[in-house]
Amino acid sequence: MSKVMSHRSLERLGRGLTGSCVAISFALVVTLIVMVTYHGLTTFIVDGISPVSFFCGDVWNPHETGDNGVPLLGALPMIVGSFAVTLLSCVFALPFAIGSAICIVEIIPRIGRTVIQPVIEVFVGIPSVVFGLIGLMIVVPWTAGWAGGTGYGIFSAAIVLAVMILPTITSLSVDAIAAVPQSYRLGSYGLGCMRWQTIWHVVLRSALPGLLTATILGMARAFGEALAVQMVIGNATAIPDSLFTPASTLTSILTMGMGNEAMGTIPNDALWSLALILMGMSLVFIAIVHLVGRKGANVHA
Amino acid sequence: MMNTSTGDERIATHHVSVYYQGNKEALSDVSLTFHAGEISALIGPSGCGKSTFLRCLDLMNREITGCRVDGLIMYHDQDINQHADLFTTRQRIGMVFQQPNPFGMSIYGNIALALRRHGVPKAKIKGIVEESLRSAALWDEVKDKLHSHARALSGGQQQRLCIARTLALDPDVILMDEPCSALDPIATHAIEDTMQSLAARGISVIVVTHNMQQALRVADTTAFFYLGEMIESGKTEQIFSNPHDARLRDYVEGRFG
Amino acid sequence: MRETSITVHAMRARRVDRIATSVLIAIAASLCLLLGIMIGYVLVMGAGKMFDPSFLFGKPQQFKAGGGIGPELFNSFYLLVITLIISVPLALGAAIFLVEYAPDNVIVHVAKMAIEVLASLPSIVVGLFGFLFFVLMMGWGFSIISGALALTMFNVPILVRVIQQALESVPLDQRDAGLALGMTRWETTLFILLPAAMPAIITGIILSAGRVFGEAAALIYTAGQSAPVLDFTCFDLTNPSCPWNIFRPAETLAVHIWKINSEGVVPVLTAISDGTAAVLLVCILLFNLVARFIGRTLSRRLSA
Repeated sequence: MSKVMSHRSLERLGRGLTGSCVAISFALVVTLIVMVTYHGLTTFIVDGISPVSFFCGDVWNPHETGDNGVPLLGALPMIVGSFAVTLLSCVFALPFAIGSAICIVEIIPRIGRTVIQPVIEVFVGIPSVVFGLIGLMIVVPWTAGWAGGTGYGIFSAAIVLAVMILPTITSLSVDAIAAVPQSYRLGSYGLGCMRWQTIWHVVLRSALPGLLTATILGMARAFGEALAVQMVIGNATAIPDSLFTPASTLTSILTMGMGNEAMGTIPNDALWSLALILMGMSLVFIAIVHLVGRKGANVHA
Repeated sequence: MMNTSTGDERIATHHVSVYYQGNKEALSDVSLTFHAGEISALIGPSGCGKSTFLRCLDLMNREITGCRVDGLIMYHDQDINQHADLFTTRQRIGMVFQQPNPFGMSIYGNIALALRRHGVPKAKIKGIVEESLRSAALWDEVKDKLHSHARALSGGQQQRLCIARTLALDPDVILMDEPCSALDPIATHAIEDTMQSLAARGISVIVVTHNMQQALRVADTTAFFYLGEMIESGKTEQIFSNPHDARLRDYVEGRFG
Repeated sequence: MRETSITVHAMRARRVDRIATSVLIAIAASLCLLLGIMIGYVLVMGAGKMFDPSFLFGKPQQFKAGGGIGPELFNSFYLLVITLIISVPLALGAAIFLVEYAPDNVIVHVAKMAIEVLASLPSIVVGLFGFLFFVLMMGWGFSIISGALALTMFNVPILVRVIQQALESVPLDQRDAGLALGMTRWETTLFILLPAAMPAIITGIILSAGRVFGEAAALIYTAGQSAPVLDFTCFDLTNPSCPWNIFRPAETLAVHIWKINSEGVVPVLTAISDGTAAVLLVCILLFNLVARFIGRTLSRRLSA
């Protein structure tokens, strides 16, 4: 009978031990979301900054007050900056990423799957500061050379981010394309289609949800990247008049500012509001990935 | 089985039905009795519920979320479907699977693992390993390489190792789910011999098979399953030579399978 | 007439095919070239420093030329070890629960989703939360423990996913065999599934270690941006110069690269940051190589 008990209590122990690991992780996430939301909303609820002026104002100068006596907290330059670098980096990265993925799976699978793909997976893990440093050493001087100015700005940041998310998107796209059933390809070849026709009409079409997911995950990574961007964008808190003048993103201002503002002050609360926007956007990215995933599952079913 | 009375009753089901998620009935109202020292075969086309039934006897359906088993499963005068301790019951009722599935460790380790977990003293384990390998007719082939990797054995040897693994826990019922379907004829023959020697020791052997020849060769009694129902059961010769039910007759004559 | 048009069509298709193929190969080649040049650039620029012991193990200098990255190198590894000590058991437990025990209900779905959300949060947000929660509220200050916990939040979702996949790829009949022998799920997992999944788990842990090793954004406000001088003869765990003290600030290699580039007060800045980047990169590449090697060796031994 004691043996029986020991088995049962052993199972209870295992369940409890592992369950509490899930509970701890869950509690941490909830705490994070609650705390960031709480501090992020303080700006609007306690400090009385109007959300409209926060999202639409284009002057970010937390230590000065405007004509109405309210600190100048317009986050539009950073919001614009974040979206601009994200979209632009995607535009730069996508042709290379998807082209390479097609090439790896469809054209040179032997070298592609055994050599190039593992190497690209290694690149996914390269620290973002290294990309920032390379941006600082190569991209910024190069941009300054042909576009004039300092070289810091959205363009340089987008290039750096593009290189950074290239391995991510490529590697996920390879998986998406490789997941297309071989029978689809054989069917297309059986109809007398050439390789490119097969790729274009059959493979890419059925890999589309996967490619979309890859792109969005890449965008999410670019949107959330802080240090690599902060190093090359110039960090000027005004809406830039060109891609080649210093600008800023949500992440870059957060990185720079948090160390300088004391907790509980309005400028600090405003930074938390930026963090809240950042968190909200990453939730949106996840939601899109889920939606695409469900659509994709429907298409294949 | 029902209406036969050789040996004493070992395990019996009364009105057992199985429902999968969404209340889908996979098995409906099966009542069967299995006796000590008998080999019983469960036959029927695939998807007929014979494996589901077998998994009931070992309470393995409890591991499937959303699966519900109704009815009584009497084992040593106790309804194990309701009141049993899962872990002790599964030690007493052994199970051998379709694909040989030795653990990724040594031959010795495969048998010793469960013994150690159930608190068998170290000094006894060695003897039990040898004894169960002998019972599974594997000892002579592996006695010199007990510590080599189990997956280096042939398919038939692996399956006999799996039988030895369950025998080590001294069960009085052994369930086999198409144990020979992945094996060649010689290995199959060896497993069938093992089944007969187990039955001779008083163990009740219940084997699911899609191979009617196998049922004819080894089974004392046979039950025919079709579309989640147990259609007919009885002495094996009678089932095959003089089937009552038209569906069983068609099946025996090979009209479907 | 019709036949010629088909021939023309086929010829055009063939030409398009040839062009597309060469364009795709060119794209892939330029990608490889780009990545190759990048790695090569960092390694070549840093090569001079990388083999210089006074750089690798020396003290950093604030306003003078020269100076090494000794404390940063140590901090990076120490922080990694502390992070793994916290995050591996946590992720292992969570993954086992989700694969083996999790009932199919709302709470479990929400918990799964929460872990997924954590995986996609920007690391700066995790870092800021760490700053707020561990540094300020818990009062641990800029310290190794704050940094390790922030990195744990960053690392756990990655690890949970890897371990879950590893456990799920163990054939189902192994679990059934264990359960049918009267073992508990806990024992089956511990003694059968985990050993079988071990190669994939170890590979995953080492790869995640590479990610942790190079992470900076989550650390600048948790582990801090200063590297106190370390005294390796000191074993007083409350002393800030004791290397093993987990309540001291600890700047890592990745943070160092960011800091000297954004502060710009260190003379010969480029030489130092290039050297640091090269060291960081070599470490990351080593993690990858080791992961692959160990994964392959272990799975070969298991299937022998």
